[in-house]
Amino acid sequence: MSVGKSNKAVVMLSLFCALFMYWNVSHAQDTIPVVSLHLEMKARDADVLFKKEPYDRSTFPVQLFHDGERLSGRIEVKGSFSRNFDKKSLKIKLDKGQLWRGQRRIALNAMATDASMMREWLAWDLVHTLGMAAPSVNFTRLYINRRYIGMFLHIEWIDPDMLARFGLGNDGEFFHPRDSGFCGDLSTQSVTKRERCWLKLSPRDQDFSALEQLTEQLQEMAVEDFDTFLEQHFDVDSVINWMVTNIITSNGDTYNKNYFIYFSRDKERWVIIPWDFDLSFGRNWDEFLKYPDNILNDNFQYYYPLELGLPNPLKDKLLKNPVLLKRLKQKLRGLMGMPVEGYSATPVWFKPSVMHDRIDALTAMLVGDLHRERYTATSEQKLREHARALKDYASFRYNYLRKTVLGSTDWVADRASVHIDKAGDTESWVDGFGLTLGSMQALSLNGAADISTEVEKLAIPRYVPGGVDVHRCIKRTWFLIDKTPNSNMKINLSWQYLQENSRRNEIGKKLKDESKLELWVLYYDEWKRLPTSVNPVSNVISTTNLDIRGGRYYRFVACQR
Amino acid sequence: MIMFNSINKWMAAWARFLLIFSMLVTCVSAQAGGWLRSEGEHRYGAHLQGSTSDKSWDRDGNDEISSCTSKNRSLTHDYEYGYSYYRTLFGRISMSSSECGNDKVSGFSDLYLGVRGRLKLYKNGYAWEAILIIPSGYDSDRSNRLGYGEVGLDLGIYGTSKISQKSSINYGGSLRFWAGAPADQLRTKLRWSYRHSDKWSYNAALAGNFSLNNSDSAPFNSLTGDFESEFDVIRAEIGVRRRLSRRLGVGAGVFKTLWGRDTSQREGLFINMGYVWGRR
Repeated sequence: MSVGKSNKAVVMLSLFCALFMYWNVSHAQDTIPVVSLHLEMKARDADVLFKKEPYDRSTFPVQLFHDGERLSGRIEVKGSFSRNFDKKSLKIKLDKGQLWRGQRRIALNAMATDASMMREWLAWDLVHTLGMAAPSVNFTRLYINRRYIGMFLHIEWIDPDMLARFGLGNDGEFFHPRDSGFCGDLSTQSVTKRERCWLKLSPRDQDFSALEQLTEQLQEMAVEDFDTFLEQHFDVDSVINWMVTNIITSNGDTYNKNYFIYFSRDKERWVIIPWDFDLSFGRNWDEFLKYPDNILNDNFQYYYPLELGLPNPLKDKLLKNPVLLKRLKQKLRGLMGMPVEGYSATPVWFKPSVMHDRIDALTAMLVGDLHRERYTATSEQKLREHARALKDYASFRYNYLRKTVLGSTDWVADRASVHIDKAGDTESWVDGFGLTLGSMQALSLNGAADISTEVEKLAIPRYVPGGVDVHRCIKRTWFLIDKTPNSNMKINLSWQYLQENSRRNEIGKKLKDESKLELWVLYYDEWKRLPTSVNPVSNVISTTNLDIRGGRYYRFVACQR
Repeated sequence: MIMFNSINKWMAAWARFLLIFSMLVTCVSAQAGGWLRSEGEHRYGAHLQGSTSDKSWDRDGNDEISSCTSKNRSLTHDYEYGYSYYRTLFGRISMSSSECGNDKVSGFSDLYLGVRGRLKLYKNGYAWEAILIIPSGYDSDRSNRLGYGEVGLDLGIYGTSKISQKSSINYGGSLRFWAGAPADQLRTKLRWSYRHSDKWSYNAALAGNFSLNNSDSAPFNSLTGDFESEFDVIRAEIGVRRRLSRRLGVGAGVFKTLWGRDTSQREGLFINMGYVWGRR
């Protein structure tokens, strides 16, 4: 009888746990809207679509089910380099007169170059939070012939009809910098070379006079009058929000490409619409590597200044104009949850805790689907690693902007101190240039303490454990000093190292696999190997349950044995 | 300009040239066999050739001095269209001239209409091909002619294999059946290509034509040694190709017959171009 009761209790407890876990996951999923798209194709076509050679441009007949209606059109693989992945980005063009969510063209981004699968969505979420005229973006579960294919990102087709939804009319002048030209930077030269630099999307004519006039005005306008000029000729919020988005996400792959500019006749203003965020949130373009490694690299950066990106008179003059710069900083403060002058309607979007929750919700939703994907471009381990790196990016970028852009700094490099009051406190060491050197979480302590750190960066460690090849180490040494006498604490500790590009990095020349790095501490004149975890994406190496004594000086190195 | 001064002569030689190489050159032209277009993709190619011959091989493969030096020229237009992922349609016609002594002929030679399909579902470069050959109305009774004047059907298979990062071979063969007197033919090709850079590539090819000895008539009375009812030939070609843009490429090369029976011994030059549009 008692055995039966205890079994019952175990079953009930299991059920409760299962329900609790389900609630947790579904609760997280509820916060991220996901739509489903059901397609029907000939079985052979559906197979060939994903398995054919990457640069074949064939289209195939497809039918789409929407609200009990059957829509027909053609489907093809879209994109350039991403065609080489098993999971392809897709484009559907419906037959004339047929619309899905008001559009004939449906773009489904496979997110194959982003192992986190969430960078684009995050960037567009920010754009929407800022209230910009922008395409609607949704995670979309794609089914073909009732079989789950995978999670895609549906980005609404950008055209004048989309702009009309935002009250901008559909009869304006619509331009887009040519992707391959790298010169649509709103300079007067860009219009002189318009064949190479610009595409006119609407009306489909060769009249570039409006753009020509704008670039001339941008060139001639004095910086001190730029705020007045912008008020008269632009939807100023669209420009500031565009720049704020690029600053928050560290999106440097724009200002000469990857945006749209539209002259609304209804508003008699120019409007900026952002585009393409694949090189964002810590990912960057490596000028020293060849294509495609220059895009698909292991680099990580979070410390680019506001001026990040190529020259563009709109950006350059805005940042030099005090009125506009103040407005931009106010917007940044609002997004980061920092105090602002007067009233701010900007939602808090980029506070680390808010970002971490958002990334956790995305991770739960995406991981839940990942194992069902027929064609996948990432793995659960990679996705979690990148999601963790995104959280690190959010923290590090926040620290950087708060210290060097929105706060005050002593501009002292490579050293920082934190004050710990109680167990559970988590603090980051941020130097005078806004660089996060590391972070710690106090697990237990016998009293408040001041903990300082210093780093010797971009240099082979002077001392390493015996038997370790110094070229298999990170080219950085970290020092930790507990300045409080008689302090005694147990901490979780993380250090950051540099990998900005293939030339400027701290990866030892014989270090092959960052994930196999081990953290060592020189402890009572003896090297001690610490339990280590590494995030090779955000370049963070961590250990747990480390004992720290007051008045002592600790030296850390990270090496692969 | 010199050509324009003697346009008739040139056209005659040109038409005659095509006569010979309509069978041989198509086998080794850059786009023949193996490759399928993307659905909705178009390709136009032009191939200009000139060749001379003053000797033939007799029935036993011995050298024979021809009664005249023949000069052939041709301009071949070919067009391909990706009808679907699975099928490519194509057509080809040549303006040719052939001249041997005082005998000159020029005009359109045979029209080729074909369909190409995939042998491997996911991989390009492996294909079957069916071509209908239709005479364009030239005089096939004359001794210096532009074709057999018969309807033909060519059924072939082709393949491509990569042998290193930069080089590949293209191979295949077909059986060509003729409605009338000419013997049916086995046609083979082997082409090696080397990609020197993104823009430059080199290639070398061997092409063979072997009659199946089932003709319905005695050897034709051929002035130039071309278009005998039964003949065998092996031809070699080397060339260079330059990619000018994503859509446009040009090429040039030389060719020479190496061995044959009942056919002329020829050598010549060619230049060609190909332009692709549509789905790119």
